[in-house]
Amino acid sequence: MTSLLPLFLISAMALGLGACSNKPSQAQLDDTRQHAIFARDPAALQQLERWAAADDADAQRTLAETLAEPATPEAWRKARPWFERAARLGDAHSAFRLARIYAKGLGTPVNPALSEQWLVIAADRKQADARCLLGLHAKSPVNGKPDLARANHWFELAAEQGSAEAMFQLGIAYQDGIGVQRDIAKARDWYEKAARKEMPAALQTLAMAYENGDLGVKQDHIKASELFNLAAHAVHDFESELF
Amino acid sequence: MLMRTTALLGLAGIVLAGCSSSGTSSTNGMIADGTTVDVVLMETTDIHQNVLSYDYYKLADNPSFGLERTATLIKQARSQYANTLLLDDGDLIQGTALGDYQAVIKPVTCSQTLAVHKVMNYLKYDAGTIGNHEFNYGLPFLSQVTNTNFRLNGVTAPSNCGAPNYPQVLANVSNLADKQPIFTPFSILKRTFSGKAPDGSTVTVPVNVGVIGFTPPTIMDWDKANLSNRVYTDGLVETANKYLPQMRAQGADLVVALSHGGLDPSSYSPTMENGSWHLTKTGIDALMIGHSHDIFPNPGVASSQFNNMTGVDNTKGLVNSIPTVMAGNWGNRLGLIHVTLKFTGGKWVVQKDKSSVETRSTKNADGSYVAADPNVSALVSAEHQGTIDYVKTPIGSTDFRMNTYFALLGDVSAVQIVNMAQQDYVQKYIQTNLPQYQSLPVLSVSAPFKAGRNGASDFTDVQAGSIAINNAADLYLYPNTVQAVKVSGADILNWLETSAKMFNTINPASSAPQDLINNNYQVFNFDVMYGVQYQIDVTKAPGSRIVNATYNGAPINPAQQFIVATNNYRASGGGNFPGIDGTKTIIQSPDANRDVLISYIKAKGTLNRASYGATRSWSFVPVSAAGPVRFKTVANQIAAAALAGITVSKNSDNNDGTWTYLVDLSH
Repeated sequence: MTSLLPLFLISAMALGLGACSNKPSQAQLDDTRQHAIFARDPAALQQLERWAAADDADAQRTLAETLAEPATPEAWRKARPWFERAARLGDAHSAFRLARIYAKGLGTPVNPALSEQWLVIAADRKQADARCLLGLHAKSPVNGKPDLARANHWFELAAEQGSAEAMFQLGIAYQDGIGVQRDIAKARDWYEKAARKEMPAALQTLAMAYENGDLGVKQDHIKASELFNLAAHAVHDFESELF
Repeated sequence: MLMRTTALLGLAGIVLAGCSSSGTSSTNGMIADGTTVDVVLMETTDIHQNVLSYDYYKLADNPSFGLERTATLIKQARSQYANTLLLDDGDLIQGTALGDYQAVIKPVTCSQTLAVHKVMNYLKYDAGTIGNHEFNYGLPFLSQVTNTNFRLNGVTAPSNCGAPNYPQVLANVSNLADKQPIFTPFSILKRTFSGKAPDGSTVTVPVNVGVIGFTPPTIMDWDKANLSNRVYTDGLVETANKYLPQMRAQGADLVVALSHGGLDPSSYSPTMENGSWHLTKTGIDALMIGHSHDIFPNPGVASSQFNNMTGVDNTKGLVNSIPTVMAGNWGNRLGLIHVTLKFTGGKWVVQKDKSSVETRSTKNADGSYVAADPNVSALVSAEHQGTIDYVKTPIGSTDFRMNTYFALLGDVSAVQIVNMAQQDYVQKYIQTNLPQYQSLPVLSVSAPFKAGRNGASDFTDVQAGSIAINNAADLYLYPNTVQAVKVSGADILNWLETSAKMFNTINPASSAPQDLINNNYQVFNFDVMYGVQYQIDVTKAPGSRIVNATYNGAPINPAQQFIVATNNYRASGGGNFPGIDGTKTIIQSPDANRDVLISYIKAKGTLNRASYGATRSWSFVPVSAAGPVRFKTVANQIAAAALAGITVSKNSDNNDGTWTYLVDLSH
């Protein structure tokens, strides 16, 4: 018996062929996502769905983020298959998202083993938060002894990819001599790098250093208050994805 | 036919100009090719309601910021240059107690003008844009104080409300229903400037300066509650591409973008927070930026984030060849972009090689500050006093003195109230938002942030009596937000052990004097945990000092799960507490710890020591030391220690406002 291909599959394939020449840029994806969420534009959501159906990992990830935006279990449940598709196509951020979904049980039961698998894949693909997390797992393992050299190694790799939390951890490492020789100048340098990424804790660390004359800086109340003001400003904008 | 006539008229104009007896003449709109005009675009940004050089939490002057001092720089620049425009880059109406006073406590009415806008009008600003913080007080308030009709249901169209006298431009925030910008997207400022004719004489020339405004698209996340379902944002580049042609068509000779956003050279996205770098490629002539509270250009400063940024010249102030300026924040700088235009082929052309950019500080080279313009404080004296009165208004009262003189010996008089406020907040938050954790105990930690590190005045001291907002600022010093973590009993014990590094290891057998406090350990990392009981044995090495740690009278079970209320610094890894590294956070609240404390005190009203200041979480394990154990704190406070159940005696006066006391650890 011949089975006719369902109509939607045919159109999907056609779209797939068509989309090869019309791959949306990240800017287009972001704009469409913004309109789908904030402008409540159903056409925008449909456009994202069309692009995602065409095996475009970036589009699939963007669709997943859009579906996940309400952050309810139902939203995560709808988003997860698209994160999975994107991750299977090699998307690093989607792999990290899956690691988090399974770690926290977002719209699906908690699954530590699956979470760890995706975390390693994401880190392998240079995803910054995943690398930072592997560093934190090595530094403060649930079971077993800390492996500080490994932790610092992951922090350095994560810092290379722009993880502010990893830069902050390296600041701590050099300040307290954790797995490395204590080096106040290097510590301050790492805190400053994290501060440039507007990580509030790093800004506050530097503010308190100027307040008290720590970390090798001269006491400077004006500079301290400037940094506190930056920390206060940053705290509204900075949201960590590590937890 | 028309063109030839125009050319003839133009010639006539020049001849007439040459005949005029004074050095200056009007060209009646006909400008000779080769005429030049120098224009100085001045920028302020991120004023954040710092109108006066005054710190409302400390109730003290602070000359390092304040629009009243920027006013002096503006005046100086205007006396230096003939052709100036004064522009503000946003984040103006929110940021200090003055902002809260005028928006929330005693909301400004339609017939009144915000104090900061009064000053902007006095300073004769030419235009301004809208920063992300302008949205913090909601759309109705913003509509009223800018006298702008947003065409939104539930936002009454304002009618002649007090507002800035200058155009406020914002092109990338639109009304969801009609898809049009809620503010004027751009404005063409028609100015008459003093230029130089080809023969060197001074001529008056018309120049049309187009100004267009942008705000971070990320306001949709930051102010979701205020903006959702009402407005939406477009990307900066898309918006510029839409409106710049209109601006040129309407005669803009110079296009200046007022972009409330920093510089980020990474790939463009319409949703990126700091899109200003990408704006430079859309055809603008000059760029004003802000939002990141930084200085650009910042030549010679090694730590400047702009030193090695792609496309950026941190000495000349160029971003992809476009002159760009960011003038710090809170009024501590004035930005200046110098542009020269030359009339060429019938239009004004920017002479790119003649542009220059600088920022001027209100701080002089010798460390002093420029004088404030006295007219500014006169204009806002009522609002200023009103804010001071507000900050001094009692929010509650205490029958006991809350101080940190002996916090390191166990006195919780200044710390317990903070912990109770945090615990209460987190308990309520969990009930509402995280019911899956309802059965877990909620503890809290806080540290005595001021405990003498910087001398005798570096302590918290709130007298018995009324508590006002400035007292709350004394009780909670840092700009933290409330966060909570989910941890195990083992994590709790590690937490306490880490805090206990505050003390030196005391050798009970030694008859030599020993200092109790380890000065290498930061007092802001001495977390006092509320909701548990524990003791600290200072004769043991760090890491082995916590004994008798109990919860509800029973030893803390290492496997039991707890919620601990804390702040963003601690929860994200500050202080390097084992395992408290960002991975255990379950609550990231936008509410400041200080504001949570204020709300709690308001709710409770009268605080008595028995309920709010006497629950000592910890004490030292009794030690019979052979020699003196010393502790340094403010002079003459033995009575304050006694009230907290701590016995000390005087050892010596340090003649700096502090005494060295002797601590009896044997009880």
